[in-house]
Amino acid sequence: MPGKKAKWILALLLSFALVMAACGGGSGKNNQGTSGPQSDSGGKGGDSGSQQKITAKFYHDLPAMTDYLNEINPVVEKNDNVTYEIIPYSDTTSYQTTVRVGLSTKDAADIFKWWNGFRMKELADAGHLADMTKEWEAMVADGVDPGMAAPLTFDGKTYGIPGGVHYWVVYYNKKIFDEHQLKEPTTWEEFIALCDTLKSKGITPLGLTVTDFWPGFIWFEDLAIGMHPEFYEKLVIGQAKYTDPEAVEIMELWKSMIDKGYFSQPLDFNNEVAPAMMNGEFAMYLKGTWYTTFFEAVGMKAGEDYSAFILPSVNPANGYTVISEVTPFLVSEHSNNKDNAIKALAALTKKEAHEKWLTLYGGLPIRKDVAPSHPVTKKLAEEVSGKGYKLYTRFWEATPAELSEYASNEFVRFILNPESYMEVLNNIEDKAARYWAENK
Amino acid sequence: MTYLKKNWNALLYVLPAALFVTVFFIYSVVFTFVVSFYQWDGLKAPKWVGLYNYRIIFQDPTYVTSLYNTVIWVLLSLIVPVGLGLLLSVWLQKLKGQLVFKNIFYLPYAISLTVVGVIWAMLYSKTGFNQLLVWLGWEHVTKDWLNVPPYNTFAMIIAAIWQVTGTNMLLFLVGLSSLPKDPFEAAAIDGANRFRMFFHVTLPLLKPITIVVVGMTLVNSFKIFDVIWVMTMGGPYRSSETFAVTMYRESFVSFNFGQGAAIAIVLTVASILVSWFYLKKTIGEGD
Repeated sequence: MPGKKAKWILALLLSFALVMAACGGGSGKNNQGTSGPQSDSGGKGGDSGSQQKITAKFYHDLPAMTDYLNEINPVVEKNDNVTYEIIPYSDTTSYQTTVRVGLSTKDAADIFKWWNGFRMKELADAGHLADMTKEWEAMVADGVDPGMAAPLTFDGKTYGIPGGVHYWVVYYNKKIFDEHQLKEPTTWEEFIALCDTLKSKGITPLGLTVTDFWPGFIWFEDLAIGMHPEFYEKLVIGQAKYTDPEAVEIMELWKSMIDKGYFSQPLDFNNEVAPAMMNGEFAMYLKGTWYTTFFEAVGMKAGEDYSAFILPSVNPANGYTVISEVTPFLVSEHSNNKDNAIKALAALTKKEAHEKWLTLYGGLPIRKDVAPSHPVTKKLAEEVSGKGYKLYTRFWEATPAELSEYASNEFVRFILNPESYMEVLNNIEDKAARYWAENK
Repeated sequence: MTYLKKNWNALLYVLPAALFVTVFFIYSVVFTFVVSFYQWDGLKAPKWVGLYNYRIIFQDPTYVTSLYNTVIWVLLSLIVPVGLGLLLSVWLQKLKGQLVFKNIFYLPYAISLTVVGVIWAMLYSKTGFNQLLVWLGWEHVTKDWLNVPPYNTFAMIIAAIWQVTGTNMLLFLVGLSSLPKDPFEAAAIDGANRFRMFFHVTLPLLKPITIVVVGMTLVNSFKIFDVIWVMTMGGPYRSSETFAVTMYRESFVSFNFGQGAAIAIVLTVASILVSWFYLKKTIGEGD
């Protein structure tokens, strides 16, 4: 009977289609990201005839990084026969989830952009990161600064490479400073005097953001390392309390700055802060050195329209202090392309590649023989190495994720309701006490 | 055996859908239920914690706030869009140029709640309503609407209501147009004014449609997520989260899968129970 046969075929086809969809869709929609275009190998490629072509999948969640990797591919291909296959994610949350869950599977990412400190430590402790200690020996011999391995080393093993090294600095609208004959402050008193002068001229001294809540910690950490740096280092690993007098002192200083009206209304740092500073709505903004691209995107020129200085320590007895953050690029232990991925990643630290990478991703150099070309970054790098600044890990990474997220949210509560600072400290300490009791 | 032999034909048709539901739904629900009794971060092995994840929902202030917000959302989503939709439909029914207004009110439904969130986030920013208030000389009324609880929750509810009232209105219009004329004529003859007509004739006759509208709204309001995530991400300091937002945040931002799973189960059970009671009460009355 023709009807019966047709029904059979239809049902079979449907089941088959369904199974195919389930298998294909199972690995997640975003997984098959757009790979970068094939680098045109028609050129000086394959200089070492016996060298195998090395490819590795590079996972990231920063839209611009696809462009950066596309630009770096010709360089690493020419020198080391390396090509990065780009796997972009548009949403940080789904990126983190996919990479994390994939780490213990066959689909583990070859190379992936991550966060350092505790967020990296938990991956290392769980055995998900490829040990690159041996590769580092070769990298250091090639000219990489051995000090750069410290933030990426746990239990004596070094993982990954520093993809971006950034400091947290105070950007300022140079035109406003020039117009009112203001100078970069070299002491905390000068900084406060600067804020008061700006206020008297009707200009809000400091821009503020609470977008996505993580920025809550920004002023806390900078004030902390300027006032009580050893306390800060103990606090983030659970050896000091958020209710200790040092912490209260930090919050009270912060509160006094808010009460004096030094801060603007909260703005979105993604699209409101840079135009606002350009228009003179406020004069200064504390952010990472990676934020330079945001000012340039609204047409401000580095060195002419904006520059940056490092916030002087509140207590000069603490010397020169600055917050640093390192964006690591890591290799998964369970990647089925691990050895090639390690070689591919190391290629990014060679001189020509690193020089080019700095012009794309920004930040400070990891090699002693490379200087940043960006005028503001160059000035800051010279100052940091010239004056022997002590680096402190950014709060977000220095303390476990559970605590940095909670604390950042609570700091935002404080920013929006400054009278609540004791409640905020108590809340964070409750959470921290419970965490450290369970985890040490 | 004879059941299979008799019905293999029909079963084959059902097979694809059954497979789909089993794999993507039933399995996921069972897995979520099991995970809710563990503490698991996706990296280390899961640790058994029994009912801890459930108990903490009613103790931790963050989750209690979330629970409270969910209740506010459900109540307001029931009262305002349904009530407003009903009023609009009654008013539009007799209006000339009805088509224009119908389209205007319905159009917001054509855009996703995510886009609604983006639009209204801009309206609540300093260049939106606040700018208007300043021009009108009412600067003292301006607030950082999305950063001050509880204004942020109510601000987002307004955005959601704006989107969903149109559909309710349309459903009620359909209902109204299908009502028989006789009861209205009889009531008019008996001297009923518009108010009494509305409450004693229109509303009872609209009951079937109302059941559908309220039922749909109930289920949708429990799972409200996108508009909140886009406008405030549940903040500041987690003050505007609802259960769906908390579930997402615990699972995919904090990697606290066990807690997220427990919240998901509580949310599911709550919406099933509420819907069941609601349907039992309304349809069960058998009219």
